[in-house]
Amino acid sequence: MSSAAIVVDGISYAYDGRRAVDEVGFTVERGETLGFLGPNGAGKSTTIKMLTGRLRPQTGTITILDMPMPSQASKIQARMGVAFEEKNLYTNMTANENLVFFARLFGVSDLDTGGLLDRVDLADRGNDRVAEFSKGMKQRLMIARVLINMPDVLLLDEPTDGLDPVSSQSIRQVIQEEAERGAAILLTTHDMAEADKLSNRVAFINEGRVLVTDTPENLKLTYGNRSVRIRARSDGQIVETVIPLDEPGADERIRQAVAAHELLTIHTQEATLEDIFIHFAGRGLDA
Amino acid sequence: MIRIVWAIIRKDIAQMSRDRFFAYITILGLVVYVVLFWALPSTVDETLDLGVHGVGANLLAEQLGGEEGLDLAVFDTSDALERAVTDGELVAGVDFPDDFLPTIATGAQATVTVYVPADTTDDIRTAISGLVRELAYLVAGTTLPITAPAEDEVVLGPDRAGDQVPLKDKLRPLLAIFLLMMEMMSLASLIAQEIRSKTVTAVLVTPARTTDFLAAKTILGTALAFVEVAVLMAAIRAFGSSPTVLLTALLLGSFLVTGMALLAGSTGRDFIEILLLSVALIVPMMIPAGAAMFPGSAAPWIKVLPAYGMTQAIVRASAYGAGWAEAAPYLLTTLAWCVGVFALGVFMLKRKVETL
Amino acid sequence: MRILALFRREIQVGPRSPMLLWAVLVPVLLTVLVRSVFGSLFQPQPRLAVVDEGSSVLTEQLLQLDDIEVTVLASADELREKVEANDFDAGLVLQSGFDAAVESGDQPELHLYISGESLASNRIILEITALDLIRGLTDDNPLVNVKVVSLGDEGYDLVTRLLPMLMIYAVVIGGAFIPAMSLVQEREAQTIDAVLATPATMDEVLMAKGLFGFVLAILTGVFTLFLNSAWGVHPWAMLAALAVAGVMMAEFGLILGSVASDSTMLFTLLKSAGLLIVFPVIFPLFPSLPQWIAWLGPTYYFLDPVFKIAIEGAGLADVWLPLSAGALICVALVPIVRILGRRLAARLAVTT
Repeated sequence: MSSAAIVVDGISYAYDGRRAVDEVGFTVERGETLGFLGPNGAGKSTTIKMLTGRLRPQTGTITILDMPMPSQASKIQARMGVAFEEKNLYTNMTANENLVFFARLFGVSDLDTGGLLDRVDLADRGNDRVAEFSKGMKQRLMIARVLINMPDVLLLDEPTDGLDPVSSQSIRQVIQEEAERGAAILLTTHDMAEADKLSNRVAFINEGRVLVTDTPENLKLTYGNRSVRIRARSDGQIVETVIPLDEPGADERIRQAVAAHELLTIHTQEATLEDIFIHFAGRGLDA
Repeated sequence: MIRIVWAIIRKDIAQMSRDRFFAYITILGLVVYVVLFWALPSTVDETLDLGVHGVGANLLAEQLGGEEGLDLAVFDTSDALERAVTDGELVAGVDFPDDFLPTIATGAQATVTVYVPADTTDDIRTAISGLVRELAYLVAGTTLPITAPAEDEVVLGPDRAGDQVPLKDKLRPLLAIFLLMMEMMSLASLIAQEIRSKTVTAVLVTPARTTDFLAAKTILGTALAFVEVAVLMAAIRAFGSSPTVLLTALLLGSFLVTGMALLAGSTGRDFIEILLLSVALIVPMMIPAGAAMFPGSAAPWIKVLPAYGMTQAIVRASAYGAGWAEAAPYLLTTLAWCVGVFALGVFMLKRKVETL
Repeated sequence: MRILALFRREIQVGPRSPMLLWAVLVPVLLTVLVRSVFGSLFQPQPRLAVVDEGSSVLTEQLLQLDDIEVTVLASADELREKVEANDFDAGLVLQSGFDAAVESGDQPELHLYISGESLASNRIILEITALDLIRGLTDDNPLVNVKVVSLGDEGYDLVTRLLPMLMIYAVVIGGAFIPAMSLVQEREAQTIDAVLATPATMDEVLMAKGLFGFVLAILTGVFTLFLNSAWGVHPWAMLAALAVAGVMMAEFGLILGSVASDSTMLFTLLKSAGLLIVFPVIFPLFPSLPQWIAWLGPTYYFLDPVFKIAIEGAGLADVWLPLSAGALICVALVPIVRILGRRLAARLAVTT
């Protein structure tokens, strides 16, 4: 039995001759969150579709919870939770009704809808129709829905896209709790800051190919530029100095800058994941 | 599978019941159709109401008094006769002159006035005129120019004179089709909504399979349509001597429109497209039902339309008391259409859902 | 200027909607249906089949009869089969030498077959008519001269009386349904929010959509009248009537579009409101019904003038009263349209 909950090995998919996913491979361990980052059209959604069994990979294999997908799709889906980018909720039903329906599909007979809604800060909206919900509330309900069957694998497609900070924070908290519970989480996003906060590892995907997979920390250390920004007062003027840490003599220069003037602030700066993505892909996430 | 299909059916029922307006229009339709049916006359007026005045009146009454299709009333005065014609009580009024009999007896030509309402069609004018002329020949003792055929050789098929099937009985298939098509639109709309909002995608990443989804829609669509149309038929007393034939026809019809709903729901991108598709489907469904209201056989091209078999089975079972032997060919034709349309509907919807 | 811009958009986008095709097709389909079907269903002609085995003069005489549908068939077997199936009320087989036999007084057997399902009245009509024509072979001087006198008003045939029904469908689809649908679709696509975020007001949006509906109603109304050769002899009076129709239907459409939250609800509302809009057309069809009930329907006040102008040759002076009432109804609907429009704008502001 593999410790990895999700094992993707060399999967490809082409639409009308155009390769949307090109020999992609990665793993997601139990209790791990893998951030799948890339711009629109990079192949994230196609990858998710193959993981959910909606598309059959044209090459390669997918193994989820030691079971092959899509041949064991039913068994896998019973232990998987999927939140789509689209808010595909039944808008003329209440939040409780939406959850109860999906519980029935999963065979969950003792669902505590109140507890589930409470986790996503919708405890007092259970009897309200989804049509009345704001965008953030709908997304939180989507997250509640994927937790119905206490899944071992979570696939979350842009879970906080376009949400207000409160809703985003609520969802991030749930994701972290699920990871702590031991679920393997694959999270697609084009929000680098989000990926940085939530992911144990990130995989960059662009034009159907995975460019690199590593922890955010390693990526920044390996490929990012670090520097120190010092602001000091000298002869009544505020002087700002930026010293790259990777250059020789950086330590000495920092000492000199701190000693020579009246120090006001000192900050370290490191590369963002977006900088590193640009380094690999030659383009930004929104380009 | 049963658990999942039942869960989807329960959800669809909840959704449909939330659409108060579709529910309202279905109930309104049911009520209107029933009221319309019972407001229509139960008998067929196949009588020509003829009034007569003058010396020939009694003679005419004597000759034609018991004739099927002719109702004779004798008037004392010409004015009364004219008034009756003007008031629309009579199809025609024959006013014989006082000297009618002596004039005929001498071989001279008598003039008889026939009063008709201004909008009387020529066939009646011609026939009444001919009737008067025949009476004159009769009075004059002139024999018929032909030998009348034997009574039992003249009428072909069951003789329904005096016992005609009223138009409202022939209207039943059309009412059934209207109701079934409303249900078709309702189900098609639900399916299209699930596709548009991609809730079907959310369902299909659970243990529910595409077959579960299709099975739920089929069962619910057919059951709802069948129950509604059966209630309508019961309310308009369609269940006569052949209830099982009728129920079978209605079940097949319900299945047929469910297949159409799968087709329309998977093809229409929004409500307007579904509406237009539904209208395009309603017209060929209505044509055989409309044709059933006309006397005689349907044109050959009508016989190949999907609803023809079902329509014939309903009319024959409810209005003419036809049994299984007579209805079987029509039911089999409908079954064949059901299989074809349903297969196409399933194929289109499955393909749509799997490519979302 | 903004209204013009909004109106231009309606003209650009409107023709792309399949509903516009429906607005054009429905009057055509209904006209064909009415002309070919309705007359024969409710005023069925007696149907006679004839097999002429001996070139009888009767065949030609029968074919020239008005209001009896006569068909010549090839064989007696076919005739009997079709009569039994009630494809004809009666069938007459004129055997070879029939005319000569009648003329010479041989009293040939009359091969007349009656369908068991034919109406008794039709049987009498066909029997008497056939006998009368047969008599004519032997006798050029009938004993009786029948003088037929028509009493009362001729009235209008069913096809003519169905004109208001054709008109109402034409103006409702073009004038009411299309603007209503346009409004609802904009709500569903949320493009109306984008429009209302500009200086354009809801009043202007409604006015543009209403104007489009008005123009469509007039065009489809004119089209339907020409299709039915019912334009009449007073074009300005007809245009005035159509103008009232167009405004009223556009206002109905805007009311429905403002109230309906989605397409399904709109369609349902239209079906319900349709009863109020359509019911006046029933009264010309059934002259025996108390006609005053039709006055309760707002559409009466353009349907009746259209009918009178088209069929009776009435001019503006003859129809100014109902048209004025119709115009007043249009004026009365304006504040309702505006209020509902404002409520819609308020609802949109809350939910987005």
